[in-house]
Amino acid sequence: MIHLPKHETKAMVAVHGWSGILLGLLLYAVVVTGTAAVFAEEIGAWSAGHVATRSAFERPMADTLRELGTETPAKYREAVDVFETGDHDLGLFFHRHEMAGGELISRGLFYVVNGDGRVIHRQAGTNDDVYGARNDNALRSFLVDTHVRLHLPNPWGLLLTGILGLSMLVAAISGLLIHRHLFKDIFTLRRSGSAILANRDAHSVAGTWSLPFAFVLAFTGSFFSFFGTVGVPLVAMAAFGGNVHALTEAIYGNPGSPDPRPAVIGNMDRINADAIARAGAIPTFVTIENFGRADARVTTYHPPKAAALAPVSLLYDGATAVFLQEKPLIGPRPSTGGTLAAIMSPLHFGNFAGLLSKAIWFGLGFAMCYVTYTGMRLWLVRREDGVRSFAWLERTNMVVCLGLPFALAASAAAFLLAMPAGNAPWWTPAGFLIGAALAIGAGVIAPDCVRLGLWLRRADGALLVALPLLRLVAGGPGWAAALAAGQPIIVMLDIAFLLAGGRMLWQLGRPSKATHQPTILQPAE
Amino acid sequence: MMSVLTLLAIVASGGLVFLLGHGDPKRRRSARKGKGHDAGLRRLLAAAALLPGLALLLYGGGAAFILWLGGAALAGWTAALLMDA
Repeated sequence: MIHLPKHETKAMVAVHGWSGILLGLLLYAVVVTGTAAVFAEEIGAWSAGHVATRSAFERPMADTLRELGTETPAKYREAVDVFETGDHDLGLFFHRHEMAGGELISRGLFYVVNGDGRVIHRQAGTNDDVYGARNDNALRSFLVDTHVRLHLPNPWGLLLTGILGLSMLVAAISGLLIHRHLFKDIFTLRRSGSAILANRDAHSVAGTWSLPFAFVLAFTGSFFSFFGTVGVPLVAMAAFGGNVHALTEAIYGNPGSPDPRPAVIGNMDRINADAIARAGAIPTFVTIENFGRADARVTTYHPPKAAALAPVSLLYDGATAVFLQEKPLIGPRPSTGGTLAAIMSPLHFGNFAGLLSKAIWFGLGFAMCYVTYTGMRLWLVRREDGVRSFAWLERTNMVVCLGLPFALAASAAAFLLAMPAGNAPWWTPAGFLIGAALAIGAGVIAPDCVRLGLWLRRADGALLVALPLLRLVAGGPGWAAALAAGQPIIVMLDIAFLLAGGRMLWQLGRPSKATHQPTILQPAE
Repeated sequence: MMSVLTLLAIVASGGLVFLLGHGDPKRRRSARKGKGHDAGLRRLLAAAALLPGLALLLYGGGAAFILWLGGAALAGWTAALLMDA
């Protein structure tokens, strides 16, 4: 493969090792939660027991939209976000745009309309209130928020996850440069040699197979983290005098001369039916600009068409409900930059080909977790006999790598038990903290790392097996009811948890076959 | 339809990758399982494993190719783990 001079290889090994060990534990947390978040939508339906299958966009909503528009104060009719919430209920957020603390926010009135067309929830607030955690989506929201910003306040969380993405990119590039036999070693896993050799093989085999996706996921992840925190403010400062709203309008808005004359919004049912027919999929989100005016514009956002990577956006005249054009993500006309920006999301989330792409992305995420974990193990076992002891780091590594899945499973258990009482937004993070405290406590009192690993694996396995049972005990739909309602994902996730937990417990009962013998490695290894 | 074709391509490439791993000389040597495939056969198997991806790239579009790439990578890693087990 790539042959660097010896001193450069040594430098690369140092960069690879130190970048991994300094940020590896945080990177692991982001990758684990990102892997789980690939199925965020499905986990949301599983955890909340959602069994409705008919989309809110397939039900009549035109009359409701007009009525709610009439009763909403004019100051909040600047724009409307239309999306599905809860169990395929309809969410309508009438709002205006404001600057608060240098940040562009939306403020207005949020309505939830159920399947019968009744308004079941009204709330005044900002986009944070509307799109934040609710009782039925608290687990999904918690998972996504952990992945996106590690629950740190804006913009620090996003900046940190962006830096972690860059460190993953550095590790992938340096790993590629230092590996002398990338293809020769691609199937070689030696378990009967030393612990160094076993960890090195496990790390490099998984790393080599998943290398292209390490680049893709790290780059797209950093893009999302830095886009709003660095990119937008910088461009706004350079080209729009610091006006973020003007920048947003220029990038995402629909150019044209303003026409503030009052006009009743067009038939939204017609727009929905037309958009579904054109895009071949139900909208994931709809925005209405200038609601109640002659220049109203409706944009519908859809997943990519079959065999395509870029999502679809369609633009309609809001007052007449007439289709205008397919809308690029950025700017009014198609461009290479717009297409590249549009495919960032499907490439990162793996949501462009239904369950097949999600399953593959989940598997690749799991491979990244494995690469991160074995990489840190390799760094530690190399230094086992060194002058300085890293026993504390080995213990920390185990607490994080095996304790984090336990804490996430504990948050899911807390959600399942608290949701019926309406306390899920509080108990879901509390469950995570309790699980994390138990894992840290085990790390403190365990006599050695072998025993600690055993305890944590047993706890992980037991809690994963318990999750489907907890779901049923808490009143979630049974398998027959879920299948009858056309929601097989609930059954599939139950089986996945049972298999994953069962396998962990079964593995603990098997004797280990590894026997460690000392081996001397080359510097590049 | 495209998902089914992509899945078939992943299975085909995965099968060939498994064969490639089964006869991998370094893996066999380290596991003390005798000689592996010769270089010619390995090149042939590697080229054949890439063919479904090439076909998807030409006729199926970028999404199908990326799915195949991810699926084939996972199949390769799984093959290495299974052969080790």
